[in-house]
Amino acid sequence: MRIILYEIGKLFNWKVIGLLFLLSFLFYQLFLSFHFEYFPNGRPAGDHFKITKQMIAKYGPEMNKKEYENFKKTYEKEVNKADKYVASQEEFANAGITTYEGFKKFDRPSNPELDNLKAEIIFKKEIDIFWELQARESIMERYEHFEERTLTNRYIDNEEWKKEYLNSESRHSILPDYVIANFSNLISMVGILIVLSVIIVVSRIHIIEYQNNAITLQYTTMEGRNLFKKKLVAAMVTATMITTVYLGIFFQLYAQNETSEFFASSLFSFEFNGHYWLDITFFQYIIASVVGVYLLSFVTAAISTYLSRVVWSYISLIGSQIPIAVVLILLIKEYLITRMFGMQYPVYLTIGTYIGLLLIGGAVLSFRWKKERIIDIV
Amino acid sequence: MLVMNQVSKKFGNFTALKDVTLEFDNGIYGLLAPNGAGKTTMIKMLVTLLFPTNGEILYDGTDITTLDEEYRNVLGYLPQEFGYYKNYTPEKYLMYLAALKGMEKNTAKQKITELLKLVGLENVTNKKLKKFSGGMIQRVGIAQAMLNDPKILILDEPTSGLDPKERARFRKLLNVLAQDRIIILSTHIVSDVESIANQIIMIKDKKVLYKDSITNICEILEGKIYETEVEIANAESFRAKYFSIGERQERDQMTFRFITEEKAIDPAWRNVRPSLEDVFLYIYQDDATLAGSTV
Amino acid sequence: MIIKHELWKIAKMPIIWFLLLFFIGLNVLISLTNTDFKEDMAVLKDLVRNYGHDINVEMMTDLGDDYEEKVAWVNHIAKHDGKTYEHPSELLDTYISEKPFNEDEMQKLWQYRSIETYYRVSQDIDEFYQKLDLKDSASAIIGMYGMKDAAADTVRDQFQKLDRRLEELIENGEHKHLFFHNKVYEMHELLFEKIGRALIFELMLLFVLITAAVTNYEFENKTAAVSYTAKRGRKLALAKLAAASIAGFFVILVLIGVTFTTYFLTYDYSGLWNVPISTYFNAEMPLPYITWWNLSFLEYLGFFVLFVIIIQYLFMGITFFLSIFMKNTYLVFFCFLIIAGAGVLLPEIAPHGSNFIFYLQYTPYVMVMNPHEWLMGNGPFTIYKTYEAVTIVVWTLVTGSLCALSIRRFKRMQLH
Repeated sequence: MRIILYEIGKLFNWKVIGLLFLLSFLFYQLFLSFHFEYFPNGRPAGDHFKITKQMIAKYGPEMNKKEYENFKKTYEKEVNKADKYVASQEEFANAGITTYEGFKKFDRPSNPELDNLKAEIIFKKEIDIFWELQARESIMERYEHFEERTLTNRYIDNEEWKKEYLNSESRHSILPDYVIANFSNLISMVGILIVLSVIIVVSRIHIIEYQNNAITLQYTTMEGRNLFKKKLVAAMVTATMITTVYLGIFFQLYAQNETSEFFASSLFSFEFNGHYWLDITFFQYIIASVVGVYLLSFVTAAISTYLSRVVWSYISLIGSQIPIAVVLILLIKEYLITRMFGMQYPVYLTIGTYIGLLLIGGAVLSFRWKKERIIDIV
Repeated sequence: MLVMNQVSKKFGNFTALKDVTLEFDNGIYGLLAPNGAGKTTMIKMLVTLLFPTNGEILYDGTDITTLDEEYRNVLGYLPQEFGYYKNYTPEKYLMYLAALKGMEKNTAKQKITELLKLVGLENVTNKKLKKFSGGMIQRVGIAQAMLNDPKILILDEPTSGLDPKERARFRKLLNVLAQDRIIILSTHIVSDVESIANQIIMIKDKKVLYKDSITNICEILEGKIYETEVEIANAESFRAKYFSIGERQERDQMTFRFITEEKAIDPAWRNVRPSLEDVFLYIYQDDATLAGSTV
Repeated sequence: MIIKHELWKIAKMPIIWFLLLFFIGLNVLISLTNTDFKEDMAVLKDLVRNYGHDINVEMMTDLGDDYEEKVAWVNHIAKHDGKTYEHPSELLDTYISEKPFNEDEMQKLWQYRSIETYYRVSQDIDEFYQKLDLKDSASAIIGMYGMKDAAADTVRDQFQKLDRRLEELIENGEHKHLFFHNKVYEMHELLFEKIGRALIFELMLLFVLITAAVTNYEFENKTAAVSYTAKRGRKLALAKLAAASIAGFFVILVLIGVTFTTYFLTYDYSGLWNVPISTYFNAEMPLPYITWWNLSFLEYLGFFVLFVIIIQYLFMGITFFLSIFMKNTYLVFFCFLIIAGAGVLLPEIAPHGSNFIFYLQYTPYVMVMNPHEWLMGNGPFTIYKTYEAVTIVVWTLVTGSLCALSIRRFKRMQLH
């Protein structure tokens, strides 16, 4: 245990910590802050967000047909309010427009002046009700048509899944797709940041001994070549620490996006344009992403530990880590974290890639350990 | 007891050591050979960094590879060049190595204070190693080797970087330690071992040539070492004729120390007692690595 | 002579070769992402061979006549349902799921559909440019980035200048040339943004590694005490810079060479090399690409390569400067990346009302972010006509002095 602590201690000197700090700052500014500041992004997304939350408060994570009738009634009420507003506007009344329906259908060519006024009401004055109605309409449109849309979706080439989806309870779950997209974007950037940080920190684990010429001393102590294993443990603990700290901070920040109302909603939501293979809740999806990030962090730590032992110079170390970082980043952005379990890729590809990566990590290490036990230290 | 039994080591096609058989009991052994003779290979095998291609190394009758931890637990090793972390203090550095040596934290702390005092570093325990001079680093290395109170202490060029005063102190220390342990000193500096080693081991052509006490080894050249004065003008021809192992210039004359099989031909030749140095130079005279060296 | 030795040190680093191979593989993969459209794009080649790429009255008449024949054929094979189809696409849309035609017919239909696109889009170009109002673009950008005051004025001002250039462009007829229909194929984005940016970053990594490794070589191999006390002494640093430059040029040659060879062997540009890059067909966004000068595709490609080379040498200079003072490749590498990140981030700190938001864009780090908009008025922040030229000149001076300074300082530096 003491040895492991010493090894971890060696990995974190102030230069490395400073580097991590700068890297995280840059990453936050370049890739993360936007998704916190502009969520949900503008109108009517913001109104949509608010309304779906109200729906969950009222109906629970799913909206069944009966509840949908209720939702439509609410819509009617809101339309009435809008009608009153339109009727109260002199210019519109003069043009014979007294209802929300008329207000909505009205277009520019017939009366440019009035159209400017309409734009002013919506974009300048930002009268909430018009935005909210727009959001409600989009919810209704999706709710009423998601079944036929799914059936005619040419991109989903899996009748079994379609059946499963359309028969599931969760198909009525309330979960806006931008909530998932936002989380997915954030967590994959955090995942990339974690992978890079683990590379930077863990990569030094063996090479510092080589560079400092310390291996002869270490391998002749009682601990001897077992140090390789202890260092591996240290690398894994370090990776866990880095991942946990970053994720901890990330979820603190993510809390400001206030999406917890949706945790119980399923990915089989009628709100989605893109679909997911699994009928899991948003919360389970978050857990799955977190597990994915931890696995990637361990794989990175394993490969870095291996490379650190077999490479002699820092330039080779950096050079050999670049392809690994590039491949991991591409995979993360493609399907390991972003679009995890999305229908763009077979579900087995995601799981298979994770297993494959873990196997590679394990294989190189066990290969090296076998060699390490008998290798001549010249 | 540490035994090397018909040990050979090959690196690919290159043979570094061949059929070495040696026994070590408590006491100080001086491993003497020029650079490149296989000295470091032998030591690295004794400390488990290299594994014999053939033969075995036994400690108290068991193969050291089998003993594994048990063996390294009684081993203290000071490599020729050893690694240290520049930003560590000697105390932290030794604590780290103590952990690797499987020592209890408290025992280690006590021992470290003791050792740092022994090697004269008690005043700089909290200074960073990057500020240390070569000699100070070497003393840290010696302290580290003795941390676990080893039964087998193997020191590769331990006095390099030490000044004469430190060397003297180091030798005294070794004498005390040698009571109940095996100490193997590898060096090519003859004077290092001359005064303290009980036995000298000489390696030549990948094999052990001698393993004996200094007195016995010196007997090889008994009656063959002479000193004489030669005119500078004749120095060149004298050199060509005899194997000179030492020369120094005094006014217009050269004093030669040389080896010859002939009985004193010239009355001016003074027979002198052979030293270990003489034997060393004599044995390795045809060794390319010694070419051009003077005393 | 001494440069040869330094070059040898670089050539002996296996990691450089390994990375070069990896990047070549990566670029080949990126190059092949659009192969789905290859057959579709072949249609354009035929069109250009038959009618030329210049869209004018004569050409449109010829193409129109030809097109009529094709529409007649479409109606011929569709005669069973008694309707008249004006375009191949109408027939395809009607029978999208039924597919009552045989394979040959289908293939021909798809082909005709492509011709239809080129023909009909060509017809609409004039109208599009008549309606195109850059004032709208300016307002949209001002709104999108929340600009105020001076910054907003600058954008309006620049778009006015761009508007004058647009008039000239229309007069020249630069916009009316057949090219890949990039609203669909996005070939400009693929070549200059995806591949271009990848090339720039890959070369950047190689340049930084090569420069840092060879400059720090003596310190990392503990030979500094010997090398820098020899007769040539500290001047060795200059030889190292020269060696890095030569090695860098080789790397550029290989990586760009292989990547572009793959790309142009995959996508046939024959007949299109001289098409103006500002042609309407090249447009990918609502605002078509508008270069500040009348440049053909080939010329644009030439400038792209030139800029990439210059920028890499700027990166080399910065790395050299860092290396002289840090003497550690690991540190230099990450330091460079941090500076690069900071360079990209820098404009963000400027208040949205001030012109600093534009001034801070004048760095190679920002410039490499959008290589597909070089020499164009399309990047809202890099809209200046002279943006690229000024950036390059200023930074050449800056890095040049940094290098000179570091070489001079190195001569008097204490080497521990």
